[in-house]
Amino acid sequence: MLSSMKIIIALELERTFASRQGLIYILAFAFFWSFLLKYAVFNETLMMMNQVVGADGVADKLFANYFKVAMYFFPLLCLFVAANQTGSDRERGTLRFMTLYCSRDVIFFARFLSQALIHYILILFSALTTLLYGLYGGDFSFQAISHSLIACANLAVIILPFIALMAVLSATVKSPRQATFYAGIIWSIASGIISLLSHYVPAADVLNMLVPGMQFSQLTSLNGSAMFSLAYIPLVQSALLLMLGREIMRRRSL
Amino acid sequence: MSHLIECENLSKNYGFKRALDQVSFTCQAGEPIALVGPNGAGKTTLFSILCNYFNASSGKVRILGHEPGAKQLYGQIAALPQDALLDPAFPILRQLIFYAELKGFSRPQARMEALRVLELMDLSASAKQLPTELSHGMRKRAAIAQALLGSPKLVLLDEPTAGLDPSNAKNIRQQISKLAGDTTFLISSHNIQELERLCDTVLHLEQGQLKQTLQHKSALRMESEDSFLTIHMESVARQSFIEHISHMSSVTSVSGDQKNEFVICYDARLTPDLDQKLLQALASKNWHYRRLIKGRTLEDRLFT
Repeated sequence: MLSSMKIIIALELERTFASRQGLIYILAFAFFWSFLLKYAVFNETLMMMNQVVGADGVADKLFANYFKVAMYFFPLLCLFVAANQTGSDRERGTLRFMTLYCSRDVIFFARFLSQALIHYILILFSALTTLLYGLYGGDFSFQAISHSLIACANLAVIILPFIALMAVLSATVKSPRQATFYAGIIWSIASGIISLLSHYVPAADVLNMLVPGMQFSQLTSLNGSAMFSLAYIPLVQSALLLMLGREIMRRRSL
Repeated sequence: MSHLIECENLSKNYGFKRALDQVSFTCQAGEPIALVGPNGAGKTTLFSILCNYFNASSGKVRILGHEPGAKQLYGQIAALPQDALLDPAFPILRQLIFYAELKGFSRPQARMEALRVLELMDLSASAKQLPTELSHGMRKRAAIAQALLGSPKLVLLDEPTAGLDPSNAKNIRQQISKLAGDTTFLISSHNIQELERLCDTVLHLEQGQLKQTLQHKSALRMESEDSFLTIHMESVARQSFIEHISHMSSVTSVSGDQKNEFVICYDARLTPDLDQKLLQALASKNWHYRRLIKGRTLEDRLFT
């Protein structure tokens, strides 16, 4: 089972990092990220440094800004990049070949893990470029490295329910576009309904726990390792979504 | 010993439509098995249940003693599913290496195995091409190459030669004949002549029901004791031919549904060598024949 997962993950990484289409995506990501890094992270940090005299070092500000931007950017990226985990293969019939060699569970979880790995690589790339920007700005320290590692680890947990949501939708709908579209709809409608409900019934506020990203506003007020105190939320959400996706994958006709 | 395939009262409903209706049969490993029937008879549905693409509504299926989808069957069953396409993002060689690795081959072995099956399907020159760069026939051959990876015990081929040129269709028939024995093929096709050449056991589905199961080649041997000759003539006056042959001793009837092809029914106990007498009769009338078959064709046996 593990060796089959390894083989599927290797092919998915090859699809993203060694195929023509994958490289186009990566280039688009790099371009977009460099834009965000310059204007939303670095310039913002410089402005803050100029406004607040005697504040903490650049590293603190830089990675606080980095995390604020990445916390929204990577989940959004998931909705597009992770939208095609099994949908196209099912519609094309490629899953009919694959299921003769390994179980649907293996395919489902291997594709999920592939997407998680791809996003982790992109997160590492973004953190590294931020670190290099910091170095260019004249502040390179072990504190900066420690900040970047904490930010990366948090982002790695934060994006999991978004990838799991796309795994569920990809197992359900026909195309990646549909999956992205439904993700947007589900996310906004669920948030809207829960806000409305909790306005009349405060106890309904607990339903927010089911919406990926509901902890973002709380996260921005936390620093350093304190941010891990909320890690249980995305982990529980991911586990629930993966259980649902696995069941859909098992029951669907190919 | 367990059967290769064992189906018991297998039914499948799509909403209110019953695609398979209480189908029961068993198949042993060995000679290729044919699955015939008109469009909508339930052939692809049966294939899909055997491959675990979906579940039956009721009934039981066992392949090599296991339920479809059991982990013991991974790598033991291969298939050419109808209308399924390989991944357009990777060259066919890369995809075959991927499937061979999933089957348990190491990377170097998987590469060799992939090249071997591509060679079998005469696709070596196209190994590095993407599926989208190949013609329909080549894509189909690549998918058949996938089904031949390793040595599966059972290969299910849904319309393997449909859309192929005659030369490649012949090559596929040759490969099936060569591999039959170690691997059992279950072939669904509308090409009855092709199935007649390849298969002994024939499962005939119609409107979701198993109409008959024939042991075609063995039945031909038995049938020749009592009864039929099928002759394909070069141009001949139909009525004149029927009248002339009908008057030969022991011939009970001559029928000809298709142009220049006649089925002669006779009493083999009275004239066991009617085939030789028939050839003499043709020579005396200066009529030329193309093909003489002892017994009836599979098509006649199934549909007459």
